[in-house]
Amino acid sequence: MTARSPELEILEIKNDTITFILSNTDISVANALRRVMIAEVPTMCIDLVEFEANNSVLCDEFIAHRLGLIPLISEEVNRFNYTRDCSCSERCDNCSVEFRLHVKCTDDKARDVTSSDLISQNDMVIPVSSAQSLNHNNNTPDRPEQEIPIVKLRKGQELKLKAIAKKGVGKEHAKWIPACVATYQFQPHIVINQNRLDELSDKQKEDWVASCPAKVYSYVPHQRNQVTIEDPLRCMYCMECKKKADTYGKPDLVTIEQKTDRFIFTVETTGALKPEDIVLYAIQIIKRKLTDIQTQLQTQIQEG
Amino acid sequence: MNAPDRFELFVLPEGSKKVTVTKDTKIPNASVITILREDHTVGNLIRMQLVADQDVKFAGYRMPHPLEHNINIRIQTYPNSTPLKAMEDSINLLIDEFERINTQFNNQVLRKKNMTDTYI
Repeated sequence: MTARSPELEILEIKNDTITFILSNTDISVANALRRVMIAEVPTMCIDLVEFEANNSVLCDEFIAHRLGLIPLISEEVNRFNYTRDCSCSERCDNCSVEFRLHVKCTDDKARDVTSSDLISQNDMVIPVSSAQSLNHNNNTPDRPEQEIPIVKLRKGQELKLKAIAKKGVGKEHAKWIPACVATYQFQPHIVINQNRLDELSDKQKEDWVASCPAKVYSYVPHQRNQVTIEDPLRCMYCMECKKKADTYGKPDLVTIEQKTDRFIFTVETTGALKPEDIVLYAIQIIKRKLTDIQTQLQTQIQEG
Repeated sequence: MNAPDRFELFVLPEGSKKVTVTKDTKIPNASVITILREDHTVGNLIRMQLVADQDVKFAGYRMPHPLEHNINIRIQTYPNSTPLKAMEDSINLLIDEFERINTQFNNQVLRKKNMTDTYI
């Protein structure tokens, strides 16, 4: 048997999303990639919080949980060890990052405590929202503030804490998941039967095109080829266009099939990692898993 | 209080082996391969690759208990092969495949980056 030769084509890379097509491979490969992107790509997240003062309206646990869910820039995550593997006794700079937060409200107005009040010990690991406001100038200027609210303080209330971020994976807790969307879909194959289409009136064509909630088709009156497929990738197989065609008594107006050997991946990052890095790390992690099993299997065979 | 430790999902218990092979005593050319601390990601991947092998008569995987993070892969082959050989072949093919995906992905990312550079 020979290895399959999968093909990969990147359609688009944006700041926070990547879309690519993986073809000529098995669905188990696509699913393994998706599962690893979600559950096993490591990031940094706040994991331990020590409260020194908290007389806000939220209890300590509530705030600790909120802090955990703040995404932190994790581009340097590979420089860190997992705390359990680290040579240090409890924790050190190689396996953790310390954050400090101290806010006291002295005004009559309520004070919002946000992710930008978190002061990091390490410039490489900061809340995603703080990094966005840092390059606010060269980015879109009219973007609203992206800070993440933690709690509101009234006059006299104070919040003082020390938070420790650690490296972890999504398997352990969802806060470490680097991707907020990691999905694949089959490539849709949509064919319009032109003969049947010609039998429809202009009003019917318009209604039929409008029947698609995902706006796959477009209709321009007074042109030769009046109905066109604008973007087949938008199709979500709701089959509304089929149902509409049935009401016209033309069930063969359109055929929609799934090409089950082409996987269109969409990966959107929380901001912790670059989207292309999530995919790349996932591929490397699966490879490492497989080589690990392979070497373990060989030692087993040698031992008999 | 009695919740299992979260790291039990992926930390191998001390002194245990990641992979163990048990031969089936009743059926010829059949083995159960137990892999500790792995899940459907790897299980389904290897199983599908084994099923595609001409020499494999049966291949399946299961997670015996949802709270124990181990998988069993059961393989039966035709007499011209052995379960261990089939397993090794499948894993090698999969490593090859991911190697190819990796290089292709790297090339494509570079190309995309260069393209955007020239257009801006």
